[in-house]
Amino acid sequence: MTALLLLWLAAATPAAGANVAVPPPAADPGVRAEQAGALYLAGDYDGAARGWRALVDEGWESVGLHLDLGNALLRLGFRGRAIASYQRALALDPGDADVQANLEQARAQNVDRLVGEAQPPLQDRLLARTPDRAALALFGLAWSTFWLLLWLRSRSSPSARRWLGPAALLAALLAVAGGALLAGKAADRRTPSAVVIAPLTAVREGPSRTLKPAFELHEGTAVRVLEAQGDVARVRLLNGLEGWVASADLEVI
Amino acid sequence: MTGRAVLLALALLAQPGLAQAAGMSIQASLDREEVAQDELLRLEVRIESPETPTLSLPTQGFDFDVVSRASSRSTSINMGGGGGMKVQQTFTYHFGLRPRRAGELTIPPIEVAAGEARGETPALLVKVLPPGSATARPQRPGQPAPPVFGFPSGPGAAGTPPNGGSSRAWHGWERDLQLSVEVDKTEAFLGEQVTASVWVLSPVGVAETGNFKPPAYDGFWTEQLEVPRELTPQMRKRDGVPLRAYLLQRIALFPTRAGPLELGTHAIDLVVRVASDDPFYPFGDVQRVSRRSQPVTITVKPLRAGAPARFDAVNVGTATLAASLSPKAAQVGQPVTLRLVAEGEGNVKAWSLPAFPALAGVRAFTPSSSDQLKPRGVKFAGSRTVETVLVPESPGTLVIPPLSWALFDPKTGAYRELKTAELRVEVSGGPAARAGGAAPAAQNTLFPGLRPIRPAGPLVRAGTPGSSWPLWALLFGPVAAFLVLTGVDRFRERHLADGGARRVRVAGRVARKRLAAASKLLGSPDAAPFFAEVERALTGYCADKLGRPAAGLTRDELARALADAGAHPPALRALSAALDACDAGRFGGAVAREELLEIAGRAMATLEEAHWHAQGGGA
Repeated sequence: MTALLLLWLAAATPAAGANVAVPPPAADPGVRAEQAGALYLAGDYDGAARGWRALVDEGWESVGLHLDLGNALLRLGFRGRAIASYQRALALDPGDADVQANLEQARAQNVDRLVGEAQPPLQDRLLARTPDRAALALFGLAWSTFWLLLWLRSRSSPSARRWLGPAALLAALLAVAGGALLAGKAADRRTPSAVVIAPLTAVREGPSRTLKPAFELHEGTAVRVLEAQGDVARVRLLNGLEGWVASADLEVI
Repeated sequence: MTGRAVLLALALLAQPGLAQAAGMSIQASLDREEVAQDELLRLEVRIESPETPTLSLPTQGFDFDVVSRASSRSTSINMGGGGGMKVQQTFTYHFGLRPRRAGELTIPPIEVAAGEARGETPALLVKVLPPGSATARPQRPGQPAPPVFGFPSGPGAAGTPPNGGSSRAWHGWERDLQLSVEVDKTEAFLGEQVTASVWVLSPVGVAETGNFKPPAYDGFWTEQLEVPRELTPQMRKRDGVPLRAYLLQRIALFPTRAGPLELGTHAIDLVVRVASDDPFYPFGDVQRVSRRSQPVTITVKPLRAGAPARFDAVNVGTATLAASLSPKAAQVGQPVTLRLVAEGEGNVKAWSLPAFPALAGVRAFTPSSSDQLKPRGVKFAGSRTVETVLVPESPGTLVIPPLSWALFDPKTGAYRELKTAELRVEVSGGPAARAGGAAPAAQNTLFPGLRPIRPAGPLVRAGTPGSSWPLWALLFGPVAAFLVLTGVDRFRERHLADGGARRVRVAGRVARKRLAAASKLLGSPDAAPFFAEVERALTGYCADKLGRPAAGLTRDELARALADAGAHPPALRALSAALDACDAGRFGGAVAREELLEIAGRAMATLEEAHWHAQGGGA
């Protein structure tokens, strides 16, 4: 029985599930990341960016990896791509002060000033500040605890059942909250955030490039991608303005 | 009525130009009997009526165009005659008529209605000569009016102001009151400006204008040059007659097609102030009149042959052309504004400036144009600006080649070719350049406050929480574990319950085995093991039947428990006897071992006959 409980708790730990099944890489990604860091410190920002970018393209990620890549891109002048990298880092750890500071510095040079930009609702802010793994952990622990308490309640004395019932209900509520966070993040992924990476991109009222540009966006401006058609995407600005831009001018986060 | 009075009335009615209706007298007169077709004929209708009359000009057989219309009213009060006070109103209507054809023409009767009274003017005859024919001058101010149809042709016969002044009695001002359209030229090139000024020329003061109706200006592009807010007279003389000239509007006309183009007729309603020569009526009289202008024809010449290549016919005028780039230096990706400005006289808003050339390595956005209009006197002038945004995509020198623009100058009647200077902007390296792999030293963009890099830390595979298998494991794992654990519990409970029944079922067999084992101890010199084995067989049997240990129970408690479990009293007595024998034998009593085995066997047989039922976990 003890072994069964330990197995159950192990399964309830999200990190344990998320970090498994990693195929052996051609070279140790940690070593490659260190090599890229050495290039950065030597002033070869291009080489460093290429090294870190390769790791990201292979599917590796960490807050430090995205921060380092953002720094290299920013020093190379790719401000829009740097902002996208910083935002990826913040998605993993929204409270990272270094990433926040560098992102703010990169955004300070944005040309576009949105008129009528509204503060996102509480739900969106909560989603932005909650890492994916934290949402998964909250849901997993609360959900597992709920069923554990139910099981304990079925075999406990009447006196113990008096507190096991409310505890199970609390766990269920926490599980619902965690599930709502996961659902919100899944919905966010259907309309992902993106950053303008081209120095200047024309926003048109339709997907056709023959349409006259309605307005223009500059590098670093954050948008949300609503849909994509061919090589153009419909985007929405934070102030609600919508239009079509070339997909190549965006980097989805 | 006497016969003389009847004859007098008949004589009055027989006179041309005079008609009589009940309570209303009507007079009509012309200023001349003979008129050329290109001259104006003046018709005056005078009506004496207590009520305001209305006139209906005939539509059938009326071979005249009404080019002007005016009306006036005077009131007289007669206190004498013993009839009390009598108020009489006289309404006078003046029409300027232009004959449509030559010949003996008749002005049909004009119907007059005032209240319930009805009447009409008599038909009037006039001889119309072909255009340009010499005719007798109509009565001018200061001249005695020749009789018309037996009556004076106008009240001016009584005397008029000699110097162009006006009065109700003098109607020469009507002839000189004109709406005039003056153009600065009657011959122009296609697209060349023709300035047209619309004037009211009047010998009397104009108090008010209204209902101004300009023509459609078909064949012209029009631009307003001047529209005075107030009527300000300028003094002029025409044929020696001093006139007040009021400018109504001044417009610039740009012909859009070659050939003779006619400026149509303008029309306007005027309120003029006519002075009074009545010593008892010193105040001026106000009269309303309408005027129409004469059409003006402008001959439009096509532009001369030999136009330069890519010349656009709308580019007519005198102008200068300039181009500029801002800023003077830029980085790759930084927008640069290219501005082209044409400034001068002409139809600025129609000018077509040269297109910007396509430049390699430069992204160009759709040009936009704007106009700034600054008329210079009577000339339409201003500037037209076309600008575009260029985004250089590679470092180097951005060169804008000279731009050429062909213009037709109507003053010289020749084409001009305007050219801008070559423009250059130095473009320094930027992100796009560095993408090509420039030297690392040139790539460093300084960010002094940038937080440093850090070790990448443990790298993990990027996953999507909503689609990865850990989520499903988390979702269904706890549920599955709960079901498994609950199932195990149930199984164990069922297994324990089944064990108790089994013990009940096999209790007799176990007890008999133990008695058999005890029988093997009959020959043993030590009797204690024998008695202990027999007692264990009996108490074990009881424990199995009861489903709980029986060792700690007193004899009475054991008897009660067995009775509750269904044992019969004889069986309990047999069991008690067997246990007593065991105790006696164990503690040195004279108990034969074989007899004890028999007693115990009998007790077991009696207990087996009982109807056992569930006790605790037993069945």
